[in-house]
Amino acid sequence: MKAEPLNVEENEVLQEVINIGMGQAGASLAKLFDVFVNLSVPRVSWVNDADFIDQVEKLVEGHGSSWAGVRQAFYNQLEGEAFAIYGAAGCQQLAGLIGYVDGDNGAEEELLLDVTNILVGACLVGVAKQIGKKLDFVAPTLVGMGKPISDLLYKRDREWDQCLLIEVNFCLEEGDFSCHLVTLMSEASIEQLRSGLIDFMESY
Amino acid sequence: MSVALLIVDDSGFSRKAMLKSIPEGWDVDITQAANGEEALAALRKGLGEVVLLDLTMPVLDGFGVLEGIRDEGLEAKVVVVSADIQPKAKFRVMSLGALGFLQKPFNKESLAAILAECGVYSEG
Repeated sequence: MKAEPLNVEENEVLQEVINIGMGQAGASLAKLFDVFVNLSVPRVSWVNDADFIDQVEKLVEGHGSSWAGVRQAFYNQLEGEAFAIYGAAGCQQLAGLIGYVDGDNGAEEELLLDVTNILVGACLVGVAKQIGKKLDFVAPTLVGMGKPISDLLYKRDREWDQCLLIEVNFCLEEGDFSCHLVTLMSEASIEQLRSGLIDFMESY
Repeated sequence: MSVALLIVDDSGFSRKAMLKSIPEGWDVDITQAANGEEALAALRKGLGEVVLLDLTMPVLDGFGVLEGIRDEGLEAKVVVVSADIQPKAKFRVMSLGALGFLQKPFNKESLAAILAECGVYSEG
């Protein structure tokens, strides 16, 4: 049986909890790049696992084969896999920010891993902490660079029940960069998420 | 006499959380706004002597509201309530005239404390 997606009220709480997590991510990026980061409201939506790759491509308008993806698994009370997807422009902006020389793939790879660690970490740890759930991470790994989105999302641990898509945009003084986080979770995790969100809601 | 309190946040949940966290016994008339434009419209009508202001919002963000208050010479005591925890964000809002800065997530106690610190509410 598939997990029931969150209702409107639960989603509203989730959106705010993610917003708070992103505030922490923004502060970490600001420190890393030594710039001020203008935050925007993250867009959050749920898509079905069965055809989530198609849906993710549609949502991010992800055509072509110039995408980079980093994968990071998490486990404990919340369990699943997160993918951070960067467009070619985003990768270049990031490299430019930190002053990497063009064509240095090793350095760019390391940068993508660092930024993903910050984004996924701040977002998911931020969410888990606020709703009182435990979460641990496996180190992030690069799935691919210069690939179509479908190739990046194909390599997964297993089939998951629900997919949460979070679109984040960070606007830096030196140029914008945007990134999409795709979070896949088990049915048990969705129930944990739901119960945590309800507790958080009722704490006010 | 009751105080005109304006709550500005794009998140309906966050506005509800603020409403529920307002100190009991504080005599306020509450107006809500879901973005910066709505906030400025309410302020022009005198509905915000005290403002609880979110920063990250669509249409017009909290920095824009503070600039609007300054440029139009509106009277408002603003406390920023935000998830943006960059030191520079706090510095920016304070130099734009905000009286205080409260980090999200907040609770009853931290909200009462910042309101007291800013001199807009006193307990008992």
